[in-house]
Amino acid sequence: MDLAERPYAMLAELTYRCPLHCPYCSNPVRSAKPGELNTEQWERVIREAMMLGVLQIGFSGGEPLQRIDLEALIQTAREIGLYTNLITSGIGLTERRAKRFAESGLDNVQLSFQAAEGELSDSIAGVRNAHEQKLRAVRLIHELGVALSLNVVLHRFNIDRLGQMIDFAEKLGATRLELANTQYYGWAFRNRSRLIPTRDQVEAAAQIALAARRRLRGVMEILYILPDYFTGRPKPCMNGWGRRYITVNPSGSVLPCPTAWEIPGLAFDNIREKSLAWIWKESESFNRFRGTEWMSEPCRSCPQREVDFGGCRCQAALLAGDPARTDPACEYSPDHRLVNEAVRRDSEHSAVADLLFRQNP
Amino acid sequence: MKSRAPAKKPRLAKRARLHTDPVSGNPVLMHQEAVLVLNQSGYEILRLCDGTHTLAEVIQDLENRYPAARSVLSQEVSEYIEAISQKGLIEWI
Repeated sequence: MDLAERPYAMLAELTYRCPLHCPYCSNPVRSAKPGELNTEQWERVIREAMMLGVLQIGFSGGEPLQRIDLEALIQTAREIGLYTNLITSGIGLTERRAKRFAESGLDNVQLSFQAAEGELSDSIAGVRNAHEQKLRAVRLIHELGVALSLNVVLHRFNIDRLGQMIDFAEKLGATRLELANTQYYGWAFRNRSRLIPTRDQVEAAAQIALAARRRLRGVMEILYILPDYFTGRPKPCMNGWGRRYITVNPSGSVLPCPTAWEIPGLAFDNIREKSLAWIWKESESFNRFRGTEWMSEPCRSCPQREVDFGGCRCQAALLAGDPARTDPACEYSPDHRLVNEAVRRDSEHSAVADLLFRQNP
Repeated sequence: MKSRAPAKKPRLAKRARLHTDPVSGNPVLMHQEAVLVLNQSGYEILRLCDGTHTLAEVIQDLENRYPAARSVLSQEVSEYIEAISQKGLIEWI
């Protein structure tokens, strides 16, 4: 392993519990065993992560506010110099808790919105008044002077309203806006035929996002990544397997990517039994797709192999049935028709009411 | 590129934090879900962007410490601060 390879960011998935039911959730459809890590175990993981090179931590889930020890974990991370990001729906953020997060040194809140309009937003989240509670969360975050980043997952039912979303984010005072096209894992994969937008929708959205990015330079950073189902190019997933990112799931399993549980037959070591450093450096799961040795053609001889790293292993497993194959999103993949067919076939009529809403584990 | 008044004071945005990477020893600028690896001169410049020095003073300070680079410093420092400013990570007060 190249010594320069160390994790820069850790996603700490504190719980899979969530008050929302978003049909594009990438959490596992079935819950993890055993139960959730306790506070001491998380504190140990956070310290080990710092020693291993992690500079940024994202507290995520599920909904991390469901954990009553969240403020303690933020404080632990911040005390050892980590940049702390809270990735939340905002549901359950009270004034008292927000104050304690700010006092603990929370650097950034990434708040999810389902749409700019309350009615559409609530119908996608599957919860009444969710939008209103999110707006309240925005006010609390600003009052405490914590940086605000917004995240909107895009799909057929909201992508046409991208311009409104950008205006909305600007009005709410976000300094970063992530416009994330749905990635088809977990619940989202089960809903793919209902969520996937048409090619026209995706192209129109890209133009709007690009124009807004230019207009808002220096005011609000806009991230819009073209969805791999439509571009013929695979995403450089996680910037390479076991190369920059590390995820710890609620039960303590350590994954190279938050959806790697989609890969059948890949076992993940757990921090209850091994150190984070051992798992990063030595575990079979982290070494399995590291570098380029595991690749077969067309990846093996492809000039892009160290740019896109063969795309996404989870997607290869999900679509082509083998995680070591080229990501079918790549136009050179022998399985590329699977993606094209999904785009063609799935661009049929569907309504929000047809969606399969996420249930809690 | 916009030119900034030399009497304005650049200040790192609150959401951006200078830090030393404990693994490599390199200076880094951390911000919302991102890490910018800095070279030593970048660090020296940003360290002075604390809202108490004007742009002219930042340049003067660096010129005093690196007299050999005097001829290029003014432009390079301005451009560097402007580039970070374009990322929204510097406020002008």
